Amino acid sequence: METGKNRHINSQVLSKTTFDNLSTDEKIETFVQAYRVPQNKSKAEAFRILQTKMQNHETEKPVRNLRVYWSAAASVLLLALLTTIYFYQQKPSEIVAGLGKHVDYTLPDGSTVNINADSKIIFSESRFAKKRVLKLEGEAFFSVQKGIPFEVETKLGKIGVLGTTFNVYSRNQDFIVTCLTGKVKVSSNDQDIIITAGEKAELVSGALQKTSGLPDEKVAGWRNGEFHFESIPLISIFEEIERQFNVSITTSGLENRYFTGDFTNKNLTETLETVCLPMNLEYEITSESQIRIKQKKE
Amino acid sequence: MRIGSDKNQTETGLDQVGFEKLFDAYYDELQHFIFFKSGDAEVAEDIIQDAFLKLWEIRSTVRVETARALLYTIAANLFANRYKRMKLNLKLQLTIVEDRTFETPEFEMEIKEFDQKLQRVLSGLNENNRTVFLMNRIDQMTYNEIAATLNLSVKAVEKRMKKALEHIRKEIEQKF
Repeated sequence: METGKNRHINSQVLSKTTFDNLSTDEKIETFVQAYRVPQNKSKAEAFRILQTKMQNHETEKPVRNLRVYWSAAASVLLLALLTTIYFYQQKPSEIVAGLGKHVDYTLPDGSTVNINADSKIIFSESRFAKKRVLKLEGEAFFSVQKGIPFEVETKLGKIGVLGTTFNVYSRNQDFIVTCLTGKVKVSSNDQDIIITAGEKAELVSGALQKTSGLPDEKVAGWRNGEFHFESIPLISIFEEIERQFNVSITTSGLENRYFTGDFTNKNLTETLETVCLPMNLEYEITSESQIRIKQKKE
Repeated sequence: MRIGSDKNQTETGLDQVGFEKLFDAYYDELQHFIFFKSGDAEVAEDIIQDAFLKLWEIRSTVRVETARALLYTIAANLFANRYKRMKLNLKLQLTIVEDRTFETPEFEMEIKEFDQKLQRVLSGLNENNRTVFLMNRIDQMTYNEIAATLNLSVKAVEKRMKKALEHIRKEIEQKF
């Protein structure tokens, strides 16, 4: 409550380049948080003045103020009302699949979502009936009931559909949408493209690209614990293994290598073999959830 | 920030000590609250004096745990009755310009210009939206806390915050 509570800005904000690089919102925040409310007199001074006034005012009116009772009654009513509202309008629901876990969830409209490991969806239960919108972080497969438009928002782009099945992968800088049935509209950076069954939209250096001719079983195979990769950076493969088995993997020197192949999420050592063997790598399980990947010595 | 519970909590009535505690705990935030509405430190301080005086008058009916919201209500009413449609000219102190040297005088000008523009925009905001926005940003009260002190729903607080932000963003972008 004291004015000193205001966060002070660190000095680097004051450099011209930093300031110029701030967005309008950031500028506003920076300034607003650096504002302090002026006071003409200190709290102690104010209290001394108040005390003098209180003495001059001396006689307390013995009349019980009806308005206080009214406001108390009103407060109780308001509290009851707020409690009711609170229970009706719940906070947005967050459905999270942790590391090494998959979660199947049915949305209020009957559409289903399979959420892959280390991913989550966020939506407002109370508003979902009017507007089918949800946020996704990570990867999920959607099977959407026909009805009003259904939208998925991710960090890098948006997907709009009416009723179809599709998979969304949104991690780091990767944004990939695969369509299994029906039609899907994918938007990113003001670019819209439509993909249909067996097609895939992928964000490649800022632009959406369409690929077609994907075999059914390779789309979102992860739902059955099967993972298919075609020329995917090896590092991403190990990241996927980390997510599916809830382990931590250290690698080095794999930057420009790509992997094509399959694995399942049933058995960790089997999976590591499947990936390491063709890539001429060795793995070492150092502790329960620590794995190190090395180049195989010739 | 809130006065903790003690044995008197469910009892009605305030003594001198309880009153002083309230003053000590809530004076600053109340002064800020009316400043956010009035933009004038002097006006804010006068109103808060009178609000506490009022509280002292009705002390026998006041309960500690509702005193904070009551003080806010009294202060807001006093301000609304006395200063109808007051022309506003917010004068917040910008802490980043205090005790600092800038790279160039031009840049100092730029900072000060932005400050003036922002304060003009804030002054032009709807009173309720501005108050909620600044309570959150300057006094760092949570939405729940603001809702409780102003007898609003959290939704209403969110709405005011959103409106305030949209307005500020729009105006600043226009004026730059």
